[in-house]
Amino acid sequence: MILEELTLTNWRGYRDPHTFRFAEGFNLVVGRNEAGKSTLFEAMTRVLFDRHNSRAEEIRLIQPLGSSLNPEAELIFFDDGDRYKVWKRFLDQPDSKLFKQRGGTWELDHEGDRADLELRNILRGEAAGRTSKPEHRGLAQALWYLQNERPLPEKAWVESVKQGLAGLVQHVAESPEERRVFEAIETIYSADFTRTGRIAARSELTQLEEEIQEDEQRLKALLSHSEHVESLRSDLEELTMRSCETVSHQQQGKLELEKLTIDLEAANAVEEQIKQKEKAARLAEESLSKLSEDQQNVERRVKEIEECNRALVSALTESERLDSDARQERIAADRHHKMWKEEHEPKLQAGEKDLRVLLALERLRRLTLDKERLQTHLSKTQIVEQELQTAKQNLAELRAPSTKEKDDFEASLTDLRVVQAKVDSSAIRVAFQFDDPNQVVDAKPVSQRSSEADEFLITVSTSFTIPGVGTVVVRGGGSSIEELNAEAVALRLKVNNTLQTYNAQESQAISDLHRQRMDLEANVRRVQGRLEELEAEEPGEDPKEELARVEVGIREESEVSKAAPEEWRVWGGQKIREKIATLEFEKTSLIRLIEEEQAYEEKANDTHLDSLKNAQKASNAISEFRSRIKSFEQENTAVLKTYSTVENLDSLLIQSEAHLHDAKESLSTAKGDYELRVELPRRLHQQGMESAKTLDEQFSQISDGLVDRTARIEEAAAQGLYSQTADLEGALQAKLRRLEVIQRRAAAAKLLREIVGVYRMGQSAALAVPVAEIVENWLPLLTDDAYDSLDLGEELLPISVHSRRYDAPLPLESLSYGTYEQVVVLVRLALGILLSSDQRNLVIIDDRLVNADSVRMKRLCLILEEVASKSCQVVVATCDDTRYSGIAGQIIRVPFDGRPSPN
Amino acid sequence: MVKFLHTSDWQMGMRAVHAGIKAKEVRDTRFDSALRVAKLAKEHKVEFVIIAGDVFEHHDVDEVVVKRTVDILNQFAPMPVYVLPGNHDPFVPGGVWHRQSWHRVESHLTLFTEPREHQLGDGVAIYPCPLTQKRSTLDPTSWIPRRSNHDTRIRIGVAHGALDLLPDTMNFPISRERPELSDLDYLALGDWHSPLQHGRAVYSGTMEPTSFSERDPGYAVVVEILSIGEEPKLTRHQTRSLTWTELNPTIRDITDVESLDGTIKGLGGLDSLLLRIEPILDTEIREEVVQRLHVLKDELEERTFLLEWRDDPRTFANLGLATPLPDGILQRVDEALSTILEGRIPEDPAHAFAGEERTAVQEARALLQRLARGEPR
Repeated sequence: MILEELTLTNWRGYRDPHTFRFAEGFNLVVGRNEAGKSTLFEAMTRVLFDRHNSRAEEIRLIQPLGSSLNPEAELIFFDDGDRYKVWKRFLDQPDSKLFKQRGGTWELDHEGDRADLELRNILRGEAAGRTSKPEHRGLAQALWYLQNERPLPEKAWVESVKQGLAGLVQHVAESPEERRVFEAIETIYSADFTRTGRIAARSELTQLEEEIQEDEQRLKALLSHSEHVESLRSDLEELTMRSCETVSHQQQGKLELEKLTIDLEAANAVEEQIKQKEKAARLAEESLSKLSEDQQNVERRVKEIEECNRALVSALTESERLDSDARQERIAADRHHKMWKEEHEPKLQAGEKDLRVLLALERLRRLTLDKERLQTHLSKTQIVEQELQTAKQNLAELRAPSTKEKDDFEASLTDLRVVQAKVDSSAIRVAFQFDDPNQVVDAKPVSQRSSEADEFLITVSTSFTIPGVGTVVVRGGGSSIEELNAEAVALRLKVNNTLQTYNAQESQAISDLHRQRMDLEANVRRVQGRLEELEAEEPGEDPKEELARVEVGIREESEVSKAAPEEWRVWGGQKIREKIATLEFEKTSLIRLIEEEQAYEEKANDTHLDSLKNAQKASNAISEFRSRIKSFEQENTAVLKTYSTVENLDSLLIQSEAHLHDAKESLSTAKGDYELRVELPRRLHQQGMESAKTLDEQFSQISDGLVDRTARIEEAAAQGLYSQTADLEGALQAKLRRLEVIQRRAAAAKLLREIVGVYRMGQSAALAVPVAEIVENWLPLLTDDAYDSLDLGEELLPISVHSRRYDAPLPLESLSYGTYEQVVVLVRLALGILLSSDQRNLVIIDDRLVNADSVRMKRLCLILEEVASKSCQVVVATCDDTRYSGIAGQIIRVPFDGRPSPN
Repeated sequence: MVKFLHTSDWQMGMRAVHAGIKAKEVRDTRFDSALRVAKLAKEHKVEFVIIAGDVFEHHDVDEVVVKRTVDILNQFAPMPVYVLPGNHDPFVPGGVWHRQSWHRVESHLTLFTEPREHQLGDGVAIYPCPLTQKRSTLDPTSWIPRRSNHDTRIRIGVAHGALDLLPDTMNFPISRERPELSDLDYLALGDWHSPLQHGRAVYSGTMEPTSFSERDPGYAVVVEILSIGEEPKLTRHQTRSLTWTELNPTIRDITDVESLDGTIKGLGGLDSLLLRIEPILDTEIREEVVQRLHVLKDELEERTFLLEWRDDPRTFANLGLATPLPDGILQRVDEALSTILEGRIPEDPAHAFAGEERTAVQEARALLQRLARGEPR
């Protein structure tokens, strides 16, 4: 193919449409880095070999930066004498159109996927996945040497490259007849296989295999359905068999049940007889029981009457005894009461009265003593308080400094002396020495004068007036002396203030005053201490209040003690206390006696009450016994009314016992074979009923199953799948027969092609020769005879170059990168020449010769020019056009030459 | 005297898988043939009709097949029709006889469901042997009792199975002596699709052929029995619509091709012919004979109802039709293929192909020859 024109729109840096036209010979695409040279080649591969609807990341990257524009490109090219135009738009609304020029007019031949496919066919490319790789680009794999792609394929050139080369050789070697057969083999082969030996996706073989697979799956489903129906039918058969068995069992069961029902009725009759006999026996038993009970009751009541009579006698005796006991206890209680009430209690009251008087006398004596002690204390306290008041008054009248004031004064005085010394030492000393010894100097203010040198000590600004001469003013020597003067004035003022305050003339007076004040303060503290000692002697209540309270107590106790006999009044404390102890002992003895008597009284009273209660109980028991006796007698009278006499009752009882015995005998006889005559028939009948019920249920289940299976079979039959299955099976068999034929045909075609291919490959092993020959023409020229030949492998890939110096092959990998690249370019150019034997083909070299030195570059230019002029369209991209200045051809500057002219 | 029609093996709803795309037509044709049987029964004024098993191909046949069959059977009315379940449609629960659509049959039809005597008027007794399973090694006719002393009725047995004189008699074997053993005047049989008579035991054969292997099928039999012990008089009447024929002619020269052509044309209408041909070609056959054979094949493909032409690829490969190949690669390839076929290892570069499958090598060589001759692919 020959590239004629390429137009890009919205393609990376080319936002506006840019059209580039190419010459048939040599084309140099020139532009600085990033100008868009490689973009042109990228566009060629995308448009010619990529699917228009690919959304691969590589396609997305084509979009102009930061835009969502859809990249478009149009390419016009010649191939095999025809002129084509292809246009593609990628990403949103992707489209592809392939035009062919006929009679000067573009005719749209294909669109969309079909256009992609046809384009691949024209260029002998292969279908790619997401985006095309060099191995998908047919001859372009060999002829286009692009950036970012391997210099050489990893394993081999694609089939179309090899075929292109083989064609060259065999066009010479093959006869037209042979070629026709080869083409026919190829046609038959390509009906079923791709060039790479895979079964073609649209071949009849694949389609048939797919159809067969589908049919087989459908058939499997249908057969499975049929098997399902068959299994339903076998279910049905089994259910029918079970149904027949169940019906048979039901009939048999029915007959057996009828027989068992007759046995059951007989058993019921027997049961009824037994019930009658049981009733008779029960009545006899009840009658006997009644008689026996009556007899036992009469006898029991007679015994109870006797017992009641005995108990009655005993109760009467007991009642009398209890009455007597009660009376005696009453008397004892009265005696004890009289004893404590009339004898012990008056004595106790008299003792208590004496005791109260004695206690009052004792308290009166103690209160009198307290009164005296308090009065003495109060008088001492008064004297000390007066002394304290005098001391305090003396202290208040003294005007003297406190310890702190004295200390401050002394500190200020010391500071003043220090400051004054500093002033003196810092003073300016001025001395006047006149010729006239009488010359007077009048200083103002008057300065101190040094006695030693007759110098003036100047501490402040001083004017010296010298009569007849004038006035000299001397000022102090800087700020420090003034500050010291100020400090001395302040301290002196403070000292004078203190002296003035205490009316003192000198500092010693301040010390004396301070000592005097200390003495007075010590006296006050001493008197105060004595007062506190006195107060400590009477802690607690205020002594005055306590005295008042004692006086009240004396008055009260005097009132009580008035009842005391005269002799007690003179008793001392000891005597009184002894008398009190005696009286209290007597009181305690009397209280104990009273309590004992009272306890005796209470006990006697309790015993009396108990006796009364027991007597009452005994009386009640007597009444009860009498009542019970009466009741028993009445009951017996009532019972014996029926039997007249007890003897009659006994006689009737004997008769009844005999009757009961007879009834029981009869019942026992009837029950003798109860299990056999009644229970067994009943059990069997019950079992028969249950069995019939079970059979009924089974039959119902089976019937349901029958209905269900029948309905499902009927439903399945209604679907008409039987003939569908047959038709499908028939069609499948036909397809399988057809497949066998096609497979045989395909296998034969493949085998034939392979064998033919082997022979043709053997023949085309010589293909390497022309490639190597062309390269060997160029290699010594390019390398100054360093290398003179090239070895190509079976896959036509360069393996080594022959070094003339070492006379040995050097592996391609051992060459410098620049030389290696140049050899690859030469191989590709050689392939370009050979593959362009029928028509010129496009060779692209995208900036691959940058490492060539200027000498080699000149020689490479000669080679490129030769290739471009004789065989191929050559497009070379470079940043530096001066390196190619020797080649005649078209220069395309990107992006400028692509811009539409202003017209 | 009694006169009845005996037919069997209608195989309605037959799958006809081997008829491929014509399967439906083959199935439909059976309805025409069944109608032909009905017409035949009426024309011959028979007293009743016996269908000796396999009215249906299978229990699962389409509903429409059952319906159409019932419609045809109803066309026999009021003539009594006695139907026997066969091994393809045995009387089993859930079978075709229990379909709703089958219940539309009218009262003239009796389906034999049990092996017990059926009295027809005063003079005829039928002893049906219905099948209730698909396979069995027991003789279904063994239950038929001998004639009692005073019985003067014509006794007809109806059964479905393999007379023990036939090949493959494992399924429902029937004693060839049954008529004598059970004093039958006629034993109407079904199951064997080709017509066959052994004494009083008679297979009517299927009324419409079902495969290439059957011998002259496609008839119904009208039976007349004058009285007990008399030989039954049988008349065969063709009922078939299609003819199924299989031929394996040996072809040596043009005459053989012409003869084959004549034989085929003599089989009747080509449009109703299902033809399977596997010609055996002589190794010395000439190319023009093969060409002539191809022409015949093309003609038959166009004109017959169905043609199944089987070529043995080895036949062609071994034929002496070798075309001289041009010098060069093709000739060397052909020599290599030939060497492999002879069981030898070819020289380089083809030695790697020595182990290829022989059939593939033959096909490849035949293909090479055809291409060299310029034949269409």
